[in-house]
Amino acid sequence: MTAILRNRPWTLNAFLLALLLVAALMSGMFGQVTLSPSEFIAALMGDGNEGLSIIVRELRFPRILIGMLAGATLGYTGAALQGLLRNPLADPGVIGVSASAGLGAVVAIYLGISTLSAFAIPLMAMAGALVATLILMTLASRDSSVLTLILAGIGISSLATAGISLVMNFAASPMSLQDMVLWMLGSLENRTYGDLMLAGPFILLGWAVMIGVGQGLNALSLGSDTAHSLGINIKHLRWRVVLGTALSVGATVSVCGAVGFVGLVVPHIVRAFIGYEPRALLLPSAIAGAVLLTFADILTRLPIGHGQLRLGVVMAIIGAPLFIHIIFKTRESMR
Amino acid sequence: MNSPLEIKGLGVTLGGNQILSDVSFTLPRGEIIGLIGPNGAGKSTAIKSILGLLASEAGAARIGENDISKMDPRIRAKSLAYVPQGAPVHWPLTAERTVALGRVPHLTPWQALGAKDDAAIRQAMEKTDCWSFRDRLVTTLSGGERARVLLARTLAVGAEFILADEPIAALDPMHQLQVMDILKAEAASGTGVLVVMHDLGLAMRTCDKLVLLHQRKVLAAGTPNDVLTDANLKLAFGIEVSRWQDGVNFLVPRSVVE
Repeated sequence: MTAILRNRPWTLNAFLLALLLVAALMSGMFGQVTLSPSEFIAALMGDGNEGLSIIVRELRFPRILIGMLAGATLGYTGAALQGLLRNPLADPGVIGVSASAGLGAVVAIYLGISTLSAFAIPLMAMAGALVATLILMTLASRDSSVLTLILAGIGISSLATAGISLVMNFAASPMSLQDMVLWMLGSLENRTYGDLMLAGPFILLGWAVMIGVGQGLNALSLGSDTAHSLGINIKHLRWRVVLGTALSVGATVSVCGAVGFVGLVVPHIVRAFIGYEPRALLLPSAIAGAVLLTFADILTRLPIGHGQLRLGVVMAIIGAPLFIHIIFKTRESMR
Repeated sequence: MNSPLEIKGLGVTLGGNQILSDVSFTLPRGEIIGLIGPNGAGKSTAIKSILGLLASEAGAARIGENDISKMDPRIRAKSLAYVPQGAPVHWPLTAERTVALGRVPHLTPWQALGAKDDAAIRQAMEKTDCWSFRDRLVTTLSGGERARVLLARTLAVGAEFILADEPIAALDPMHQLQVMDILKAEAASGTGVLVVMHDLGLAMRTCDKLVLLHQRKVLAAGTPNDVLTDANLKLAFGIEVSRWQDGVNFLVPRSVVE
């Protein structure tokens, strides 16, 4: 199987798209009410049982769409940031946007405004991501060094994490603390078209900002001086990736909560098939990210424990061992 | 379009320190010029400033009428190819994919490599004798093989000028000669080559002209014999040299000037 997909980007993309269709179909079928593929499609088209149709069209379909957008965003931005920072350990978390969006969300819960409107949490999360991006741009605009960007990102991330702890520390009631913790663990449960309409445009805008960065990322493989000599405007490239990531990941975290490991692991999985060229990794990483998150979301519906499994937890349980495996497998070629 | 690369009155200040002052020389197409000088003389700064990697506070580098710092980045990239010092390769790409990066200036963001690019890549890799290991990862190559791949990457640009910053440092004598032969052949085919080097003997034998930097300024410029005089070497490097002839001119550092 791997031999067929190796070094054939379009075959790999086609395979991943097929896998994504399967994942989406399964995600539509499984839940408290399990449907056959034909029942799912009939319900999606609005034929047959009205109750099933509501479950599929109002609950499962927006959940599938948001999951795909979120997974694609995390996979794509992970690959883009690893290319930009020339570091296989980079993920959307390194620029501090995820943690800052999380801080915005817990503040919304703490202040109680999350009970006033369903959009309070995502809006506050996006505001958090926006503030983090502005701080990052101010701190890192002094020079073009990648190290400054990473250090500024780590600083912002640590500060936001400290802020989250502080807000949790002062949580007014165990209920609100539980809400914060559950939100931080990530979920696609009960997401609606409203969430999609809120986050979708920012996610798409983030993608649009990053369109066409592949060639610059390829050139950066030879270092920023050589990339400059090849006609790449490093400053533009850097801000396009950072801004695109901030917009799309900020919006993603705002509707799904904190979901780690997708951006870290997915580019590594893709590399096993098509090598290390940063540009070639972008599209397959986006599709593979969508596949991975959709499958992980199906697993959250397994009847384990008292409550439902959370997406961030499932992703970490899948992602961490996978990551260790991949790191050891590819260690030789990174030397 | 056979305009030379003209550097006129180039001055660079970094963090309040003058790094280069009033550096002028001309690199015609078809010539190889060695940029020599002791450590800290400003050789790498000069190359980076010509490329626009460092802003110059005075003077300019031009190709014909065009000020390089004001050129469209892609047009500049097609005119000037650069081999940085200790060139890094951050990902384990194959030799061929690494060389292919030299074609970036010729492609729009969406464009894939075409037949013309493939031909340029193959030609560059054949010139540097690395076509046979095109599918190997650069991380698995020896220092000499890697240097040839990175040189091929530079040649693949097909630029009018090549600026190479110590391309033979860390190479064994055979590979040093090989790389210099490739650069000489490029010059012979009409490219202007500026190469920073420390081996004065090799510079004397391989370069058409030399530019000697000393204390941030050009101390001497001209043919190797005009530049590598005892007086200049004593002043710039603080060394005395031995010379002899065996078909070609040799020069070897003998002692430090007391």
